[in-house]
Amino acid sequence: MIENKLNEFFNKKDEWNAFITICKDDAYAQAGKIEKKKLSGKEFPLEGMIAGVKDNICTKGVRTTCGSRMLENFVSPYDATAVKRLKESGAVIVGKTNMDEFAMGSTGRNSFFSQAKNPLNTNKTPGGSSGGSAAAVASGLVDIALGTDTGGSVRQPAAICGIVGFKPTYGRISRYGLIAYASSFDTIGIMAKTTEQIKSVYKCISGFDPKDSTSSKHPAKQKVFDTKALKIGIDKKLMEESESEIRQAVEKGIGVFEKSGAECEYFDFAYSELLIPVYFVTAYSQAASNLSRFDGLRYGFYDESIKNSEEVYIKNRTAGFGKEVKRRILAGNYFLTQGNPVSIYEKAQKCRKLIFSEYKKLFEKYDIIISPTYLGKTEDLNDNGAGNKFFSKNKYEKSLMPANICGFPAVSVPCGMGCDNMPAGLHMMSEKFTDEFLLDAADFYLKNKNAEKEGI
Amino acid sequence: MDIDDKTMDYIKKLSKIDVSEEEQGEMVDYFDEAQKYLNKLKEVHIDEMSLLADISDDIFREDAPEDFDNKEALLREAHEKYGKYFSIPTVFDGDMKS
Repeated sequence: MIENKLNEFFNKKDEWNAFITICKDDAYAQAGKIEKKKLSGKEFPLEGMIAGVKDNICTKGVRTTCGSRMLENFVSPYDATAVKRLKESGAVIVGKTNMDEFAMGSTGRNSFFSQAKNPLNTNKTPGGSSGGSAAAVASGLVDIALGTDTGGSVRQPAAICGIVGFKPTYGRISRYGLIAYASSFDTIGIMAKTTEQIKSVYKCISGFDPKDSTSSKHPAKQKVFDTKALKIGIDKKLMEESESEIRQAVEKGIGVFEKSGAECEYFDFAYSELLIPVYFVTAYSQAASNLSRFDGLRYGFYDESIKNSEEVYIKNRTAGFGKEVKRRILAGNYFLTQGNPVSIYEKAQKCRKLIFSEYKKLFEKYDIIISPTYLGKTEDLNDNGAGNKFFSKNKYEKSLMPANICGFPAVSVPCGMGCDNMPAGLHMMSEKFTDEFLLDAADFYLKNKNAEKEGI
Repeated sequence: MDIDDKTMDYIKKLSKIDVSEEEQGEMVDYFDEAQKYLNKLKEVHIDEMSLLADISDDIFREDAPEDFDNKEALLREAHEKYGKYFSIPTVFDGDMKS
């Protein structure tokens, strides 16, 4: 069965630039190994599944580019823990998916390789930075894909491509082998068309990993999903700030829970204005530090015209990184030099604590917090930001940031059509270590939404 | 707030990145916009708050030293080795190439 599936995959054309690298030989070799082990009685929970892996997650023997010229020819000598566990569970990896360079971007435009396209409308972006993973799943090329979520990079493209995107609690899926952007936000996430697929992959790849110092041993909170006892909080400001078509789609989604007996109420989030600055100061400062390792000396892009040691770092980094990455590194170093006597980075971390405390209080009242996933229109391939400059463009991503700032699990599920006949996403977030509960809620929503549509 | 040339040069030096004149102009606009957001942080009076946030206290493992006694396994991951050491390309020699 898997061989037929692989034949089908390798015969299809990737019209959406969803992949940077296709690994045909490795995929067949992996499938062969699984078949051999099955003969001796071994069972594989993800048997028959073909997967794409975002190109910032290391895969042994297959290049891992991060969507960058800097790592164009970098071949990792080891598998990331998530990849290792995916393989051990029987999923076959068919390729590395396209992405914004070093996961910096939300349209796919910042890839060094090519712009990924949205399978639902090829004139639209697939979102980002895991746009290739979303396009690979939405187009049906793969069953599931791994993405990474630093500020919504799994959930936003999932919403835009009409699939499910799940970001687990920080510390739940090992970051070992994930090339870091902002270490305290980075999370490996899962994308698929159904919540069942996400649940089974999550079960296989999550769990403590001694190779990741931020991997958690905390047990999952045993919370039973029951719609009649469910309390849902809806972020009023985020609803108001979203495009009207998206808001209406999300309101319908909330209606599905209400009809099933859940108690829903709107709330005002006190620190809404702090989300963007806390996010950017933290993410860019950590990026400036994490990306300082890329100098072309030990691996990565090396400018052959370099004449002396003074030029090594500057020339390699200036030519190896794309515009947006350079901008964020410069901004990160700028932020790190700001503030006297208290540094702006320290201030951002204190404000992060404030945001977390406020959400902690909200989760004493609500089991789930709902908002639209992405508040704005899906961008056209060529509109380059629809007139929004720099940071203001990210006002549409405000609902995505709290899960990264606070480490909460969050999921985006398709909830009908938003603007320009493109899908809208319903965003759900719950308290830390209630990942399974959250996925049960997503599962409930999708089943009941579909039942409603089919008149069941 | 205007970012002067001196600040810009310092940031470029820290970042080990060069930018063209056009990009530098764009970066100044970028920092100007960033400043509006930074001001929002500055307006919050929480200087007395401790920095250690309970946000991650259930994440970090104990900071205890551990013995590592599997050098062979570690060396198996090396691209090249020399005896019991990793071998890496020469960084700075006469012609800058290994």
